Amino acid sequence: MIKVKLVFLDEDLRKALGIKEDTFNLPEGSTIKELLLAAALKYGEKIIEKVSKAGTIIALNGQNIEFLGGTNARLFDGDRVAIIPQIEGG
Amino acid sequence: MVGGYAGKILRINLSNKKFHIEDLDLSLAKSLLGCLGIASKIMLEEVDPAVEPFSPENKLIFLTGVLTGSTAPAACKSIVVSRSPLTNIWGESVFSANTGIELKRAGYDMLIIDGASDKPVYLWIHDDSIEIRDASGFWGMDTYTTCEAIKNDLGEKKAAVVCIGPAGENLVRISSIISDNGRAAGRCGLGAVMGSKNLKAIAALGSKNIEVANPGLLNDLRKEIISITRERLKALSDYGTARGVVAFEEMGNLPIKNWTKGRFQGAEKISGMRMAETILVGKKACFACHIACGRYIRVSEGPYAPLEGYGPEYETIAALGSLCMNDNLESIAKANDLCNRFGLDTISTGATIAFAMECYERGIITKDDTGGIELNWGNLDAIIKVIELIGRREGIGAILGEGSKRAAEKIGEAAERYAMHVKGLEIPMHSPYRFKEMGLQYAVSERGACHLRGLSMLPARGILFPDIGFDRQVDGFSIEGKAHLVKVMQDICRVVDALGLCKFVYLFGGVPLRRLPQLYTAVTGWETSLDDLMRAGERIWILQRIFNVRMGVRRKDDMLPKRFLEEPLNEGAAKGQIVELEPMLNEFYVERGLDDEGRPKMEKVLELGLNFAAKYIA
Repeated sequence: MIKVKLVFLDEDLRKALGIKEDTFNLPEGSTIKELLLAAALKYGEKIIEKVSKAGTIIALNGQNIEFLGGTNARLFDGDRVAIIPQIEGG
Repeated sequence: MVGGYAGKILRINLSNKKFHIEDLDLSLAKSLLGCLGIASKIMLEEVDPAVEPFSPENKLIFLTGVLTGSTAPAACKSIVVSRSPLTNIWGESVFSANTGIELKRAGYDMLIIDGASDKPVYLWIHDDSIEIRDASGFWGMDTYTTCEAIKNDLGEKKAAVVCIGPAGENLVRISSIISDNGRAAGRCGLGAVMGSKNLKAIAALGSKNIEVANPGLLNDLRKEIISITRERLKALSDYGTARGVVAFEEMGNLPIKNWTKGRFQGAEKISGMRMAETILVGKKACFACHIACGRYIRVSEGPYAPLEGYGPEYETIAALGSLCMNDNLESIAKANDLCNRFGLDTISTGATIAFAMECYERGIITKDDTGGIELNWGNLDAIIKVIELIGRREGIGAILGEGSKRAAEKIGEAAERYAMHVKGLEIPMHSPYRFKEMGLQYAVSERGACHLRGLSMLPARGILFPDIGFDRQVDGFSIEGKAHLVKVMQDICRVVDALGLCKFVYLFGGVPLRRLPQLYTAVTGWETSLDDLMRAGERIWILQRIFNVRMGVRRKDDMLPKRFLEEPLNEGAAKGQIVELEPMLNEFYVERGLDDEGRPKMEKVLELGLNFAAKYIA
């Protein structure tokens, strides 16, 4: 098994779930897809809705998974995955 | 008269106290996209390299965008232009000053000031009445007090005022211009140009309508744009621009400890969400804006109480926060308030203090140099004290107020490596380690290190622009295609600026860019296309580049601080990265039609129809 931290950076999601992050135990060889499914099972469809929203980025250890194989990106023990909403301004 | 424009330029000479009014050249307005382009031409023709930034001959231009003051959503921007005393090159700052809107309502698209008064004055532009009034009684006042005092002096609460504080009066090179609605023309030290002219403030009030050629079309577009952006920018409205702090820390974009660290434990404590939960008491909207990303805060307890007023935004929070290892939101709010009251650019101020803190840590400066201040990382009191000294131009503040480049030159060679600037303008709060395109953009921006003239990181942040060819996310760590990305994003940013629109609404809000030419046509009555607008944006960029080349800018100046080229971070999402600038720069010169030294080629200038500028590159 591997331990992976899932971090929620969207304010609405944080409020809805009442937490900022959670840790998931997953089988060796799991991917982002499995992590998101596990999160959806635990917290419901809100997770999938946020992830599917235009502009949302999923970051694996800060790297955009778009360039790491998308949701097929493989996870390793100690990884940190963040759901980052579109950030306007700055 | 064509819609959008007032049709006149007002020129005021502060030396002889004379003014005259010129007609706006509408054919030029068409090809150069209004006053931003025309001002670029005027600066090229009237400010030669012999005109020093603080000399009376330097121009200070206050201009409006084509759509500024119309009912197009967030058509709120005005622009100040001059030769910058901080960089000695093109100086420009865009802000949401209502003074620009009133200037246009009074009948003027642009105000050109030259000369210098022998005593403090302010300008009062009230329709056809132009007055140069005594400002001796306001000299030394902070900006917020000045704006109110001038309205009282005029007996006209509706007057819109912009002014400088003590920093601008003291010729501090990182000083800003502040508007009565709490907005800042922060960058490039343009407040000091006002100070050099003994010009404390500009007040305006107009009674004319800003004509719109096709009100029905404008109304339809307005409804659509508000509908799209209200939903898309809801979080910006709820949490302000500082919403980005935590996400940027996660993705490696937040600058930390003068750009030497990749993680900051205090990010949550200085975030927009924390602000909303603690000190936020209201939101502030610019003219014709339905989003209201501006913050209004109140600190009721603790060492920084009582404090109430305009709150800090992302750039300020990062510059005076994580960059200085400060995770105390109330202290940042206090520092922001002080900077605004003194009239100091929060980005350059924070960046210069971070530079000084690194010099202090390394023993390059000591308590003997700081007047006893312990400039340790995260020392909140020290940050506050140094801001006051910079504003008053006293002690160590007299050196730091020169900006990090000049301060490093004065402190000595050992300090220069830690001054994080391009061409003298301090690096804003987005990491070129994380977004390589920002490294190139900083290196080649018209005014030195600028994040807003390009915003080229947006496609890597998931914000796409299919109408200009960016329909999928790009990899921020790659340098492939970045020269083209920066060039095109620079041009669209020039378009949005020249139109007088807010980039947050139009570039972050999901508005299809093809709506821009439709808005332009609805207001002016002139047919155009997105390609035509982009072409005009390119003309503006090239004109400003020619101005900079005349001022001596060459390839050697299109450079980043060595830290970004040689010192990778050892933690965070951008761990191990450096900026591979040279190959991007080579490609960028080709994209832009510049020669190997960075000068616009004659064929490019002529191709753009800028024949009048040819003599400056011959």
